Amino acid sequence: MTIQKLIAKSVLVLLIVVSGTPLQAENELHEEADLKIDTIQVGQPVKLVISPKTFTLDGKHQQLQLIVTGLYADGSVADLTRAASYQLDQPEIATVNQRGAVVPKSNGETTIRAKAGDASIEMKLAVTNAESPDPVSFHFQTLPILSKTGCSMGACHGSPHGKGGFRLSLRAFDPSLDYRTIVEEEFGRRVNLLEPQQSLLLAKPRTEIAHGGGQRLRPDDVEYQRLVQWIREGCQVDPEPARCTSIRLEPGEGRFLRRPHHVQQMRVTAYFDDGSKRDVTHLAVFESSDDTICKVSRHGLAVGQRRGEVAVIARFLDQIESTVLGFIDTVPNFDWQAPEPKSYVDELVYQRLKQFQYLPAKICSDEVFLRRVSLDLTGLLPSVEQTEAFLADPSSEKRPQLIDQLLASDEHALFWSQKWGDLLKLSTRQMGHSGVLKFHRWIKQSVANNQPYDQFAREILLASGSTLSNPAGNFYRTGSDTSDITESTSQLFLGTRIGCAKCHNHPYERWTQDNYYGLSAFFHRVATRQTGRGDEAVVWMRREGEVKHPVSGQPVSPWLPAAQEHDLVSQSTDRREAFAQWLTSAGNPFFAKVEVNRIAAYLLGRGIVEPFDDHRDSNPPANGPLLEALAKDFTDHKFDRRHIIRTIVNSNTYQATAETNRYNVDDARFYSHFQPRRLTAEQLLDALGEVTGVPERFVSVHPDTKATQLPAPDLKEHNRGQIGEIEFLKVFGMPERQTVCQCERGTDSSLGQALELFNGGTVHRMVSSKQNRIHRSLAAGEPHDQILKELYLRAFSRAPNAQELQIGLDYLSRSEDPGSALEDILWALINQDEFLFQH
Amino acid sequence: MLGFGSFKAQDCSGPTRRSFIKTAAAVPFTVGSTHQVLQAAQAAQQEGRVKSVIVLWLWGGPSHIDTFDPKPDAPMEYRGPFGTIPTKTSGMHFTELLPKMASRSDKFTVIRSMVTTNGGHPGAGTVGLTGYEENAGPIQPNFGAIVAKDRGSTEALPPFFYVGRGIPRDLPRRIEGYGGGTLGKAYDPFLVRADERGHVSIPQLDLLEGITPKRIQNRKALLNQLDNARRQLDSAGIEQWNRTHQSAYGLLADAEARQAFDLTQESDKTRGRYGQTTFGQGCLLARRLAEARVPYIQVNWSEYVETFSPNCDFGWDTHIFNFELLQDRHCPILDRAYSALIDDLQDRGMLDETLLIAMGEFGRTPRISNRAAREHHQHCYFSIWAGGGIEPGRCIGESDPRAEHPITRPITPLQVGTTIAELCGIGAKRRAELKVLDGGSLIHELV
Repeated sequence: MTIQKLIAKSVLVLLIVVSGTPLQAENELHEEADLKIDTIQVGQPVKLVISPKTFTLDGKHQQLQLIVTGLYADGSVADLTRAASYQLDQPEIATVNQRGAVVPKSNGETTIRAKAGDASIEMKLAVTNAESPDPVSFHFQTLPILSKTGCSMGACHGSPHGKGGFRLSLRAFDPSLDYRTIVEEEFGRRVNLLEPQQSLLLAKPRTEIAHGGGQRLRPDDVEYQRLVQWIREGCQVDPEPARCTSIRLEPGEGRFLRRPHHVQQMRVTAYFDDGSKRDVTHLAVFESSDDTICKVSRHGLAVGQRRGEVAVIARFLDQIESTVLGFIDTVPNFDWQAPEPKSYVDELVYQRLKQFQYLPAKICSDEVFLRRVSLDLTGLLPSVEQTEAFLADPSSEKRPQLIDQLLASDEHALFWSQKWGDLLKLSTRQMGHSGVLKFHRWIKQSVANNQPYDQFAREILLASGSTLSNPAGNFYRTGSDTSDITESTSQLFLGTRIGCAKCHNHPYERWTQDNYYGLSAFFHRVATRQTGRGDEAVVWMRREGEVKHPVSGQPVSPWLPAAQEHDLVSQSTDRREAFAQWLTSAGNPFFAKVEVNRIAAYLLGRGIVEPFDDHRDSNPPANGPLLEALAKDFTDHKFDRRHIIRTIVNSNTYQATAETNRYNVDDARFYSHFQPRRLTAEQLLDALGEVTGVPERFVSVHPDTKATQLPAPDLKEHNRGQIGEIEFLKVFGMPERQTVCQCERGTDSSLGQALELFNGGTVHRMVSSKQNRIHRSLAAGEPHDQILKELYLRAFSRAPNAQELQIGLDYLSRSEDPGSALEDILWALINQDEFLFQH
Repeated sequence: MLGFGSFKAQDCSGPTRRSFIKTAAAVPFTVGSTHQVLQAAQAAQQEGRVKSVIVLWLWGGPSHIDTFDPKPDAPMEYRGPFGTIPTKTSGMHFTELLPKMASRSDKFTVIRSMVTTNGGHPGAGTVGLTGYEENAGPIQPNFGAIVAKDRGSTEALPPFFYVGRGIPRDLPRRIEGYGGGTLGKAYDPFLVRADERGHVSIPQLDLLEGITPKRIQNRKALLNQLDNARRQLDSAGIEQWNRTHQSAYGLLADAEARQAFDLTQESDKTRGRYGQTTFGQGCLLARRLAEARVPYIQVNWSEYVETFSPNCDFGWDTHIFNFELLQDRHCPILDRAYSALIDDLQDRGMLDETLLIAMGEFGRTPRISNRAAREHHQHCYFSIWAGGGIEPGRCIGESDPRAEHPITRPITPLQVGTTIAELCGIGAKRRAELKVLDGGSLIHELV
């Protein structure tokens, strides 16, 4: 083999090593040239507003992004930053580029006047140190640039193992490690002080040398030039860097932009602990919570793509801020009409729908309502008797009455306990057979008595002693260590998936590694021990022990978001008290919102924040005011869960039809219509039992126990490895309860499920059993049309329409064996989406 | 400068990771001119994402020292009776039991430094198929379930198959990590059995008593009629369900949809090349499924680990008659089926987009037991990788002179899973979203 071939071959091998996966969408840098931006129509603004009013640019590499907003007679606003013309009193001091960014030229002061239409506005600018050298700061320029260009993101060199042997800390959270990596590691090959352009650090991202991450920088980018300058200056590290304490993202929340005004310039200002502030718009990383609604360019220009609302997130070093922007498209011929609101829920939903020009659906029929609300509140289909009575009832108050009746039922308590069973991970694997039964009974009592939610949370979090006498203590058996408990607690009660912050600052939200261990400190001393008496364990508090920070190795003190010093101290030796006190106090920003959002998600099929256990700035609520109002109502009613359920279920929003109209068909976020959803595994099995009249029986529980009432998925006789009726439930997504994530309950449809319905043992047994309803009815000599009507009432809570009845009767008349024909009809009914879905 | 002296990836005497990375870092300075070649290769790699993964699961713990990692110079109580033969990979020898694979070693890459954490079959099986111990928390998904979840399941065929034999088990119980794990049973594998004559049976499609294809057709027709008798709801969820329902109907009632399973479509000659064995016909079926773009296919060597217990099907758990069985049964079957499969994949141009892996759950004790056989050995075993854009013809990792422990960086099942995911385009971020393969690192030599 020749040398060239050898080299070429080894290069190919190596390339595979260095390149890695194709880049993912995370941190995609949008160039403005690639974004479709309509020409900005200036029109006649009544008034202009400029931000900031005064500013000092200190140093020749500083910049200032201006934001000029036009206010119009009709109350609308438009971003005119790029449409305005700018005049300076002292043009030698600075220039304003076409993006509305001010670049300094010489020391001095000047007024900048922005003009658009007939309106104008001024701001005052001072420039200092424009002639002095302004070396590039490693902390505040080099690292942010590597972050902005995506080098240090999680999919690239920021991954725990780096890429191609080059590892940066995720989003520059460890500057000194990054400095060593860039400047010293690999014998200093990554930077070339004599020929900065030849540095590996630059040659790779401009793809002069193959780079798995593709082109990230071009030589004419400002970012690129700063990196060159930093290397030329000898890769200096700031002697005593000021600390960036906060950033501010403008404009603030509540801005709605109506096409053609669909762009908005953003600005990021960083504040330092030496009292200084700088405009870092050009160094910040921008992201949008939904790229299909709005994309943000690398220069911070938010460009609306379609109607909707997004969070724009700006990140600078370890600081993160977000703001919400709304984009409105005028829908031709849109004519607002809505049913009379029943409560603040409808008012706020309608407000949002009107704003975004979606039309709310009509109110659903009694038949649909009865089936829907029974499934939601009790997990079960209504019986034929219930259906007939409800449909015949002429009262205008029958819906609220039915709701109260269902809420007071034992079935409701059991079904909603199952939801908490999922969240609290009730399984015999974790807490033994009797542990599950006791904890389940405890939860059921709480739901049945409508125990205030703050008490419920406190009793779980503060549980101590024997789990036989205090079953809530089983919560502490569901995690193997402090981390598990910390993560479960924050996901359950703070709605936060904090797990990422265990190893590094959270990449998508403001939780840092310090915060993670600060929260852990509350739970670190909790200990559990099996006593050997049945399934008993004892939960107690150790007297000492501190959680250690994995980086510094130092003990970490308890910490809470937005808490005062005295909030952190417990009255007793049990640190959890301070946590529970803070959590359940009326002003807690998470507690009430997380629970009302969870309830809304159960009832409306989608959380106001979705996924409903993933509250973070970069995942904004679809309707912030609604979430606030529900949380306030919840707090005002002393955390009365049933009150919130009742309020939602009584609303038009809940009672809207699933049928869409042309003005809401593309809405899946704002509750303009009901979103059909497949019955859960347990609901489906119970519904099959009800319709066929052959209910499934479960061992080791009372024989009448329904699937929607099972305390755990793995009660003794259903041990792993055995195949039984529980198999059906698992195929349809019954969770094993191994994590607190709601995502464990599978909602995906799989071929296995479809085959189960076509040809599965459970369905087959129910449909063909000679003891089932149809065979019993036939044996009793009931007429065919009567049997069909009853089947429809049971399966869909409605009578068949004439056509459906005729199809059924024709099918029967063509068949020689009415029993087998009825089995086929029964099979067809339970395979219709109207049966399988809640609608 | 390039350090080929220490980078001996071609001659199997054990590259160190350090030399490898150093070379990687050094190359850009010296061969910047091959830039275009590099870019082309890079583009190919990004486009040529793996479409199907075939895992040949050699259940029972195949002996590594008697197959792919022979030690002819080891003491007599270790080395065993088999001679060694050279392979197409310079410096790498196999035992004489695998002549066909030896002559094709330029098509695959062998890892000789695998280690696992568990020494029992069900436990090590779960580790081998999920990357984690059973008792480390919730049972994690089989690597196949992860790929299935990522790809979605809207195609006509299920995304994750078990082929040949059922869920691997030893006598008391089956592997816990066989299927969906934390992703749920919706991602369990879909079982297609094949016997040595190539007769295929699909338990889930076996019609229940009283059900005939005609009756299924009648029912489906009736369902369609009733569906048309009222207004349909538009909803993404319902649409997805209807597609799935249609696929299930196709599998049950439509001969065309079942063609992927039909081995009679293959010539006798082809079927013969794979061998008239369960495993051989399973490998052929796997090829047909990969042609039908099924994302993940696990061919199970056997359902049981044991070799001689009643009702068992001769796994690789050769506590007795190790040498006799390897020589007369296991190795010839593997050698023939693997060679036929890799030839077919290559001839059909499928090798780049198909990742083919052969491995068991652990190796066997290099020291021969007092029953003249070998016991479980979790500290050193092999895996064999082909296709998927992986540079073939290499040997990665090296074991000590008695094949007891790796002397290079040990490679774990978790790394195997992470590497499979990465090659399938499931990057670090996606893995974090799915909450799978947490803490897993890549086998750098393969990615």
